[in-house]
Amino acid sequence: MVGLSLGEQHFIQGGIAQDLRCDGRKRLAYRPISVETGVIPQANGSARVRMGATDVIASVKAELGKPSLLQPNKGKVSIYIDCSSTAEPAFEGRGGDELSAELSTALQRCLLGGKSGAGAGIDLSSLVVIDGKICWDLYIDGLVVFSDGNLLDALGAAIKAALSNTGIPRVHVAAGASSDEKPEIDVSDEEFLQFDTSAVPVIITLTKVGKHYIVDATSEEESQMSSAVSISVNRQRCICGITKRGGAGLDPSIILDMISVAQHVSEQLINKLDSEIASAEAGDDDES
Amino acid sequence: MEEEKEPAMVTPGEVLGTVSEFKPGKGTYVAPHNDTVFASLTGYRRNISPAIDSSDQRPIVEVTGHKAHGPVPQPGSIVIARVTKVMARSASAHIVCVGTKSVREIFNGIIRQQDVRATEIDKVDMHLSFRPGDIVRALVVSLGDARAYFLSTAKNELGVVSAESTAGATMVPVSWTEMQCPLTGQIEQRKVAKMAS
Amino acid sequence: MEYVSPEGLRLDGRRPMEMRQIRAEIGAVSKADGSAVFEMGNTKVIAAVYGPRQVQNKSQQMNDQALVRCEYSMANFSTGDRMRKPKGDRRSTEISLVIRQTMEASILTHLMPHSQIDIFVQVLQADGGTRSACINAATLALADAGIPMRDLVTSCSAGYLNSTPLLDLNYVEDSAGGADVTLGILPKLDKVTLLQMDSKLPIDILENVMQLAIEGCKAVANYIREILLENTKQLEFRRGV
Repeated sequence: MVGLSLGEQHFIQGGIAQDLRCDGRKRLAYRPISVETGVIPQANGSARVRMGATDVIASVKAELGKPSLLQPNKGKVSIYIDCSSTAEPAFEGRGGDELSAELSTALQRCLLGGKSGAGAGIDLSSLVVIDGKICWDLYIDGLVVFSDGNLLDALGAAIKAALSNTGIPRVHVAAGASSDEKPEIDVSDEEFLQFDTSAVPVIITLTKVGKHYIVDATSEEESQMSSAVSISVNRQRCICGITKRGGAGLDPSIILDMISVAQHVSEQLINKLDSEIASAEAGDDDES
Repeated sequence: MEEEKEPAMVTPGEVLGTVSEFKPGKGTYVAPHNDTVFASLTGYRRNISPAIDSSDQRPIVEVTGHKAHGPVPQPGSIVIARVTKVMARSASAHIVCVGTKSVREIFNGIIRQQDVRATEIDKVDMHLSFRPGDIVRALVVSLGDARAYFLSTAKNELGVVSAESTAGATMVPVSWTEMQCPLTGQIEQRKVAKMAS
Repeated sequence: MEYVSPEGLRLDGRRPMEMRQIRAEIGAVSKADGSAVFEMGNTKVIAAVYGPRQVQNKSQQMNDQALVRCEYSMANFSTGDRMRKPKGDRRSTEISLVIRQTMEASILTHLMPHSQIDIFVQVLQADGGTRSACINAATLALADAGIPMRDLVTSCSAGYLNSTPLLDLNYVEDSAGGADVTLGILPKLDKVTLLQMDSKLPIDILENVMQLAIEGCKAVANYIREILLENTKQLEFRRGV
């Protein structure tokens, strides 16, 4: 979609090489981030995150379900991303499906941990109501309203914000039900459990343009990339998942270098996000 | 040109007057059944008094929006186009500017052999008139077929305005059929536009 | 079920002739040629307009007028119960068609031959009246894109429950099984461009309900006009004129 002339391409590449990008940022600087929580009242939690012109909405819906047989003591979380055709006419019809699938799997990898869910940023065992019988199923839906590059980071941030905005109703289990009967439950309308989202990682995408790599690339800069590595890092500076995209090969040592840069950047991003989320939540409370 | 002292803001569908009072200008339209002039854009309404010598003495009413849609080539408009392909009987080009405005979308144009120059139109050799990459000033003759607009360079001031030689330098026009490379001195054939000095 | 209380109040506390709160914002999608957000109560939609631009599918090109296309999609989280539907199911295809036809009637398509205009509407929250909200959002987005139009199309719904005509139904009232009339008008030209009704209604009551819906459309039109003029003023101000 992005059509750039040769001159514009050189300008972008030259700017990145000199650590001064087209919008005046340095290579490792993010665009201004704004977070708005509670935008979808029908959901259990929701957030809208804007990074520059990139605009995404994430919502969390909780439904009671049955845990899988293999992991009776864990809840289930699924992530789906939808690319709205308002963002790009090319997403019309089935046009956005490929990108949606790529983003969904990348986010699942980065946020949910492997198949066992061992490395998940969300504590899955906290979702269980009764072992092996009832658990909460969390459906995380993302919607790309407008795309100006760096969708993965923005979606990651939106999901983190939406999770901290999420209240799961407290469930009372009627005592005395025998173990093989369907237990009686009572979903509370007033009491909500807040999530502990401190362990939810943020995603840092390092986009390699020429010899250097940058964070938070705009779509113009993304069109010039040779490859990109998305690394999710949590507050303890642990790596929670890595995804490499793009065609060109990378030297293994460069990948290690990128990871250490991502760890460094993640600290600023987490702090920035946390303060944005906190102020958004505070604003939310004032209104209600 | 005389403007109203305080231009009123209008939105689409608002009545501006009747055909007997005003001549509809840009951003307005006339309903076919009742001779009423309506606004079709959001913006400021302006009444422009007609030229003194024109036979029609009605003031022109127009609406100027803050954001007009991108220019679209129309028959009679002068466009700047980049030649993409030269074939034996025609050359295709991408229109990049309509008048002085650059287009936002790609529009394809085609220059047919008979539209290259005004005289001896049957003897035109397309390959001696254009090369891919040339920047051409042309006139839109018609909306053409489904694929492309028909363009014409059959006027003195129309034709190639900028071209690169095989050596890669921007060439200098030397006559209306030739351009010269400043590096190698080599002369190449083109249908050159006469520049207004 | 009682939808209008003896005191004459509806489930959400409105009077029968009262509309939900409407709110609109222009320019929500920065790179689209025109865009708008439109809210009617809890219903919230985004519309983006791209074009006029070259026709993508050459076989659809028309030599005497612009091609208008529309896509309607609902976000997964837009409804109360979470649903996951593929794009292009029958309901959204039908609504896309309705919006397209309604907008096409007001766009001066003959001014832009050989080109296409894309209208994308995305429902963020659905609480009844999505059709109307989408049309209102699309009108604003088209006006923002500077596409010449005959008039601003506006739309509003009305229904008939508990022998009372109700303006602007919400989801609960919409699914109550009473008549639901969705109306779209060209307010300045005073013409109806869209009329849909389901379930049955005596003709003299339909007249009342339609009249109510027309009043609703006009109220929306006044609001949209205000928003457009306000937006133009702001742009002029920013430009320093």
